Amino acid sequence: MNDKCAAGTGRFWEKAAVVLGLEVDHLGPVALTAKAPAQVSSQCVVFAESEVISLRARGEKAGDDSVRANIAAGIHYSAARRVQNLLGRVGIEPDLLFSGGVSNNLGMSIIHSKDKHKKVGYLCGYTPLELLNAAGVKHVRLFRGGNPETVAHGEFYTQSIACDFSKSCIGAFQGGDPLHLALDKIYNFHTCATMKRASEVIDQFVPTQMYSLPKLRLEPDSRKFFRDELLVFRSDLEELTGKKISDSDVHEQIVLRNKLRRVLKKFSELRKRITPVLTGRKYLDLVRGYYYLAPEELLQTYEHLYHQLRETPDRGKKPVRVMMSGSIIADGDRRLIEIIEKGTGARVVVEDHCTGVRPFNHTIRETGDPFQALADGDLDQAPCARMKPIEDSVELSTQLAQEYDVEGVVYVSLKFCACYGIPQKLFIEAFQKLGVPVLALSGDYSQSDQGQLTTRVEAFIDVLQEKRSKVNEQYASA
Amino acid sequence: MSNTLVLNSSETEHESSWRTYKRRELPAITKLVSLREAYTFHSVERAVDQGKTAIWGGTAWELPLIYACDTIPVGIMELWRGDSRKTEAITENAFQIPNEFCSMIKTIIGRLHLRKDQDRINRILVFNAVSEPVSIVFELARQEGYDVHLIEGVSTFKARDKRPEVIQFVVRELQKVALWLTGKPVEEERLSQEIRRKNGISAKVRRILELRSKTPLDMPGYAVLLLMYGYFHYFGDPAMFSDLLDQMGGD
Repeated sequence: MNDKCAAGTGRFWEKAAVVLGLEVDHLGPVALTAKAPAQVSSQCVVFAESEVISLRARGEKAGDDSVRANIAAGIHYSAARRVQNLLGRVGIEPDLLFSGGVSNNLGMSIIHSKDKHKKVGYLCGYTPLELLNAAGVKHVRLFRGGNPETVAHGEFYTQSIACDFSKSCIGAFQGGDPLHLALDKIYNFHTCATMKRASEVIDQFVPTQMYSLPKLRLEPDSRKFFRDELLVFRSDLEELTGKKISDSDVHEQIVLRNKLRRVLKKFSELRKRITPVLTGRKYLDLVRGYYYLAPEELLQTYEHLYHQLRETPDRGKKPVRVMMSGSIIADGDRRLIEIIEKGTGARVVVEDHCTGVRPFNHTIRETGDPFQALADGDLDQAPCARMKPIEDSVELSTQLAQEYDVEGVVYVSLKFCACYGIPQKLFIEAFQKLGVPVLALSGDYSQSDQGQLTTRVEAFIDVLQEKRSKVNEQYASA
Repeated sequence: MSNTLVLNSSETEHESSWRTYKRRELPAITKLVSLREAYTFHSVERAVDQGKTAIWGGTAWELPLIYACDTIPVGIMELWRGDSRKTEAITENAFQIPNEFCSMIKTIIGRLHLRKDQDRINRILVFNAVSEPVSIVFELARQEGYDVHLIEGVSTFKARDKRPEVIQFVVRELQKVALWLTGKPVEEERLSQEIRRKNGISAKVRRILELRSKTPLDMPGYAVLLLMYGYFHYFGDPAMFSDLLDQMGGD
């Protein structure tokens, strides 16, 4: 705000309170008693003031005793709309903080939270966001992690023999995270036994529904069965929102989400340059938007940013090119990537985990039955290692390594993540067959191994640099 | 008379048995111990050599289908009954499975790895809804050359999820198991007989456990353990196990 405009500031509320004959601290509580909030459309305090005077005059003529409450509510809704429009431009992220004097206004807090949209959380990347968008719900992927305190909250329900990611998912609820507790419903697709159990615990906090997710991704019967599961998912969403979801609604969202997938893939491909335009960390930040933000606005932002980045000249020193592969890298778990990129100057140019570029390597069919297209698309996408046959996961990983011309792979298995811990040798051997060295790390969200991790990563990058020097020497002598 | 199981320390872990079990034994319990002793994968392999079919797994709710396909199910538990420490170590080395994973899965894959070239029970039936560690070690077993058949995992998380189309899907998955085992659809009348047998055996086991609650000293804990163990696969001989249960109830 500036000294010439009072829109949305405390001054606006003071003026409105005077016009309505109220103390400013009564404005919020009075607004909450409104039965039919008035329409206040002016953005400017000066015009809004005259609009309020006019509304009040009309109400008094009609002899409506609740007119002050209705006008007070109208002012609140007007301000809330302005704030939401502004937020829509930058994107609403978890842990939104409402600060400043206006946040003391009870009416404003409640009206902000009285968003008519249902708020939905989901736990796995196999959740078809097209259906959530078609249902008109606001959604958020619950994949925060990396904080030992949240893990400790999760351990209130789990034994130590569960991965820190699942503990974090539970811990966010147990620790009273307002975003998590504000959700109306949580959906999860059965990816692994641990997350299934986590969902059962989370159900104690917020109603949670699970769906089967086939493992035999190539079997026609499994695909048909998964389509049936998605139809049930649609019915559940319709029940939650009271809104019918038509095939054309779903089709429209498939087209929109495909556009997002394509642009995220193009962003990633900018990392194929000799000097990658994006760091691995920044790429993960871009991907976060896909899981949190409304697709229409996000697409515009992505495209604008992509056109800017595309123009960046490809010059400068070629950094050591690293791939990260393995278990999920939670939103907030940036420790390892910071060590790689900030600590050694290497670049993560591609990821083979479910929160990096992997889900954006394919698009969903845009013709025919949209539910079968979603089922096929989910099962056709670059598979998590829980899918069968496991060779598909290994093959994709090595393809990405070759496509992005990586010099080394950091393979991370989150402790107790069976999908990437048990078959790790298959992955490592496949990379080694390509002549790509691998650093295998077993991680969790504790901070005690920071020094050890740094030493191991630094040594690994040194090895890669040395290898590059030798290749260059051989090339020069040849 | 002691009610304690005494393992003979001169025997290897694999050979340890219930022979030295000293108590006032009911004849049926002695038979139960003998039946269990005779049911090893070595004995099943001998049956395979004589033309029988056997698989690893198939010992849960799908048991009637397996017997209806004239197949002997071998409990996965047999794989970790012996040599468990040795096979765990082999697994950690050969497959580099991190040490945080359970002994059970390491022993499964370690034992299969050791047996892969001479295993005459080289087919494995897996229900995909098992936990991920178990599911993934059987992927490793497939890579070791085992013929692994997967029943697609379906879960009903809440009662309302048990929908007719979900049940139909599982039916089709079970029909595929029959094709995998015999190359032809299962005879439905035979399957019904096996289901009735399973129900009958369940009723007998329930009756024995009720009797045990009245006279607990007649049936020690280890006998219950063996009883439950046999319940999952009938020790490879349904008729004999059923007769034994009759005798136990009578005793």
